[in-house]
Amino acid sequence: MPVREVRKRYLALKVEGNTPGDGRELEEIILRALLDLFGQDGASRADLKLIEYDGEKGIGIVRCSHKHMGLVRAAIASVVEHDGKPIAIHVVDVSGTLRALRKRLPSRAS
Amino acid sequence: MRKFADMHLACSFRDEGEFRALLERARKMGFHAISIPLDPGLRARELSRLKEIASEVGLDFATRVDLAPENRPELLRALRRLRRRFEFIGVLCQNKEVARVAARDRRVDFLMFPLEPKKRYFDRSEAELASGSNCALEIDLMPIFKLPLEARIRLLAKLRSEVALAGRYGVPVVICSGALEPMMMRRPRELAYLATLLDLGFEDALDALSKTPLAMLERNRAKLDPSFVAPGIRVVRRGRDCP
Repeated sequence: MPVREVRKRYLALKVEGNTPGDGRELEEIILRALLDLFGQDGASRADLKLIEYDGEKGIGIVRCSHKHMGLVRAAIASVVEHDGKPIAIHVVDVSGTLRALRKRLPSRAS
Repeated sequence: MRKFADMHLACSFRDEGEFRALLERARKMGFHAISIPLDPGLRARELSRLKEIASEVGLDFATRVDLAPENRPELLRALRRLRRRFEFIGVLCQNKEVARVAARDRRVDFLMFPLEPKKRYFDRSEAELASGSNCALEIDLMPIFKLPLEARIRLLAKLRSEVALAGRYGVPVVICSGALEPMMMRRPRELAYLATLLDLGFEDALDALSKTPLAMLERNRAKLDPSFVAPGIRVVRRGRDCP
């Protein structure tokens, strides 16, 4: 079976506290944390991309490089404030495919 | 499956309801055991009530007291008074004198240091002293991310060197959230990923959140048991038929 050159990981996120209104804001928060912790080099290697985000439920999915998932997870865990108000972003599930993650998400995010 | 422990939840609680809510949140996050620094004046009945609530929630609660003495006599007095009442004792070392005494004393479980790098006295001498006693180096992760960027960078660099030193001298490292409010609590694996920032391998970080603190808890509980005499010796039976 052919193996993809660059493998990806999909992370399901649950946001608590000062929840960002839209996906772009969430992506920006994570990207800023990545930059703070690992600089431009780390942030570029992480290859972060927001797939979807439901601002009302505070649930989202981001994609990152499989090899650098540790950087992304550390950056996500390090977010404690957004606009001066407390926020927590938890990784509730991880998967190699979006389909499997979406299937499991309702039970994991509750 | 690994059992995880957060041995320093620094969240305060006013009543049983708040305490229960904290525990429920910790259990939901995947912790098996937690510890919250308590008031040294709490009576045995109140301590056992807290443990009761924790077991209702399905968590193992370790009683803990944090000391912040200013000098050697103050530390020794507090240790004499409190050691038999609490399962864990953490000492916040605010000066070198206290740091050295705490590292040498077998009654101390956790060595804690302030967040300012210049006030962290975990150097080679401290590590050597700590390696001969039972104490572990405690690292609270979440307060680091409340610091301004420059202070955080300096602290992370200092913590990296402390972790390396602890490894060289065989001093156990215990990773805790140090969460000051429930929103700062993180899942065990999230804490482990954060701990990799300190150059700990992921598996070592998981150990610092599970095996190490749980082994310390087991050891301390055995010591506090009335049948304990010395390491490896305990009273099995009392009575006239025992020669």
